[in-house]
Amino acid sequence: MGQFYQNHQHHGHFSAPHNQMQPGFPNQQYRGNQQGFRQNQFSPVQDRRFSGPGQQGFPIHGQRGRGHFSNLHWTSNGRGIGRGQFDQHPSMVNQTGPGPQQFAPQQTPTQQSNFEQVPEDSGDPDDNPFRPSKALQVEDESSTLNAQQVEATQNGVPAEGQKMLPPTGRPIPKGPQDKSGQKFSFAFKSKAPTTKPDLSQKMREPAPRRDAVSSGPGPSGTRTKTRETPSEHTLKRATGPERHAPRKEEKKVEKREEKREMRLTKAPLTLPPEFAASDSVYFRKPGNESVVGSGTYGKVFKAMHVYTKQLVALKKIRMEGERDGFPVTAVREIKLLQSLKHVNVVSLQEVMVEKNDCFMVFEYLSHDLTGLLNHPTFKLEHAHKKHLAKQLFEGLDYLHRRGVLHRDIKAANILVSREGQLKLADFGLARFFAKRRQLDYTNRVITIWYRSPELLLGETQYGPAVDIWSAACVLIEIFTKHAIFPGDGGEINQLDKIYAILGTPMKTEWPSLVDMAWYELLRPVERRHNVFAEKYKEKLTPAAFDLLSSMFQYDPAKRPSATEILEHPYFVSEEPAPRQAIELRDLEGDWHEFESKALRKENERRDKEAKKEIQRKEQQKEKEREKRRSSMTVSTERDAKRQQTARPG
Amino acid sequence: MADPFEVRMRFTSQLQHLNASVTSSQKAALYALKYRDMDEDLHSCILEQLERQNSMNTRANIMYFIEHLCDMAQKENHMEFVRMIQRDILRVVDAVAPGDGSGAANVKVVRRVLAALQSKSLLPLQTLSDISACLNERDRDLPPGPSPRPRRSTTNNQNSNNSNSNSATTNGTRVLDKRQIEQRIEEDRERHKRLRESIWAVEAEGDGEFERLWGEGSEVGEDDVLAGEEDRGERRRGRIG
Repeated sequence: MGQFYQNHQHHGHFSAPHNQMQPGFPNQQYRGNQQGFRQNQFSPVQDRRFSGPGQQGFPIHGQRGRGHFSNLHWTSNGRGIGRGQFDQHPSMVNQTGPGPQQFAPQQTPTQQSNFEQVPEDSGDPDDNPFRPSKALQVEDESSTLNAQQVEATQNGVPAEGQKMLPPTGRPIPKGPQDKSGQKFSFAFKSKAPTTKPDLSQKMREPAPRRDAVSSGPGPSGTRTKTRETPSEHTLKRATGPERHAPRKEEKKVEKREEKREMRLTKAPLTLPPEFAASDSVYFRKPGNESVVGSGTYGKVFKAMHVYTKQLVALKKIRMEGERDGFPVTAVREIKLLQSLKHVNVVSLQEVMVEKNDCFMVFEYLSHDLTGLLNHPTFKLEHAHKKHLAKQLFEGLDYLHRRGVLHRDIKAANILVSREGQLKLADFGLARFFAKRRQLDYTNRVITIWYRSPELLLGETQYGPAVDIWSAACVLIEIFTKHAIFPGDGGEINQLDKIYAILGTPMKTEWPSLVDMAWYELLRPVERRHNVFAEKYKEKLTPAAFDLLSSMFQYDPAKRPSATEILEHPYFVSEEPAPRQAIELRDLEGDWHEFESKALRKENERRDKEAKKEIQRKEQQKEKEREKRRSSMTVSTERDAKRQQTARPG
Repeated sequence: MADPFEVRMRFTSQLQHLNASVTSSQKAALYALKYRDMDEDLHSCILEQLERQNSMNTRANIMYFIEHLCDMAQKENHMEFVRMIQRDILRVVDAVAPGDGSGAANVKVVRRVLAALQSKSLLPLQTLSDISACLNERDRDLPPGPSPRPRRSTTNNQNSNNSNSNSATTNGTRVLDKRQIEQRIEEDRERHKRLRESIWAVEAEGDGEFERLWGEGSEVGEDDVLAGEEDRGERRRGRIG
């Protein structure tokens, strides 16, 4: 996959010779490409600016933008066989016309081999027509990088097309072999160890393998701004074919190559048309169809990697209204997630920049707790519930050990896979906390239904106990399907909900109660008694009730830690033992809060419409009746009027 | 020269519209210092606004403003404001956090501001401890449990908003309405945010920074071991290094 980007460069070069035949365009493209690699990576902003359309500039700019992206991904390349490799040939073939088959075999799938092959390529006589004239080449060589850049900026001069070569810094062709190989050497030279190629190579080499997956560019045949391969882009520009034309040809070439290239162990991928048309390497259904979540942070999309078929969740980082550039909260979230690795914590696979949008790429899980608990038919067994609860606290235990407060534990942020594996998600509010000292944090955290009383009373020096409270609320939801403290969204009402069940807090059970910042402000109106036992003892097993009672203590210092919770008899000894909910495999569809909400809304809408329809019909009837009546009255009125007018008259 | 009446009116209006932001306090303080020749007049405005039936939040904001005013007066070397505040501090405290329980939520505000003034040597330590003892008594005198605000019904949430929106009176004491409480919560959060902005600051000279870092360091704990193990795992997979 990663191969794609390498190929961009190749493409660029290949297209260059072609350009000579078609003066004007090609030059610019070539340059653009080069510059893209050199400059764009440092100045994404510039990319944006340049990407604007300009007659001449367009090709260059488009490429620049891409150059930037490809640079980001560049690192991953150079290993493995990728489809991109094949793409390369097609583009060549397209442009050069003659002898596509001959090229193909010579190019081995790995980057290294490409370099080595340069001399071999020279043997191909077909390439000659594309090679620039000697004079031009010489000129190219002599020109310095700076000069090239300057030239590059003046676009539109046809003659310059031939100057494109200089950046490669290739030796002057001498022998006939060289000449014949001209095209190839030309093409590959750019990668040869001149200043620029070095850079790109360097970038490629240290690339972590992991990125390779991500770096795969979108499938070919896309718009200018997308991550398509530059060669295709240039192709389109130069020849102006319809979008899909080049792709077809590519495929043919691929087949040919397969025959010839015996070293090729992996069969070339053929993509379903849907994927092939995707702008991104992560295919997602168009429009809102792929949205699986949305909030203040932005939107989350379900997507599939077009090559690995791996499902991912793309969290789009909202840039609207960000005056100071990339939001620091997103940076914090990414940094935090990168430091976490646990089976019960959602894993961030990569961060991807695409079309000026930044996405966090997560593993995809089909359900979340809200969606699952609201499922119309699916029922969790007690052993399943216990297993989910156990995973929840194992995840929390890990976070707290690692010094992370999640600060947004709620059913909708807890994902469940088709195998019944639970993962904590959405670290948008999470932060590292000081374990051995008490620091000051903001108390405007955690969705209010799940917010602990100390936070509601204005505490700013809190710790992991806030997550434990939230988790206890989730636990209640797992057991009863209903939120325990569903307030109206305000702090006052939320505290009332808590007081209504747990009673008003007392100084004896929570000594620091009076030190809470808003203790006076939010003093309870009247004393209430704890009715938790009354309400929940019946619904819970004895151990579960005991565990929850300890977690719902007002004094945060008295709440058990996640570690302690996992040692509680509920998990350790009480029957039934936790059992993974593998039955979820058979559950159809994806069940997230988002979908269940949508479903509910849809149902509500239907109900409403049905009611409206009924109302409308009734109204119509009523109107008709009225009409009948009024027509009668009108006639009588008229009569009356007539009488009236008649009278004076 | 500005019309004394107008200055008075403007300053009064500024006091009434103070909010949690530092700038609003500073603006009013600057205004007071600009017309320092009328300091006595302006000081009486402060007392007047505190003793009038302004909302609890306004009084709290004026209290925070007093800290700013004294601060800036000291910097500008116009100690008259500070002297007058010192003289009338008991009146101020009584007005901001009255003993009848209606200002209970302001007790913490008063404590905080007085402590801040004392730490800047703008208030004698003796005065502070006297007032503090008095406030403690006030705290203790409060009836336990029920607060001096209207009963908020938990059964009909929708109505609670309306029924509490105008400051009703229960048992003859003036009480807080829901909006005021929510406003205070937001304002406190805003102030807290400001406080946190300077949390990391250390003085340029001395060993403050070193001491802080030294204090922040800790013994190797289990989480360090955990982090180390994870790092090793990464290295083994060849991702790092």
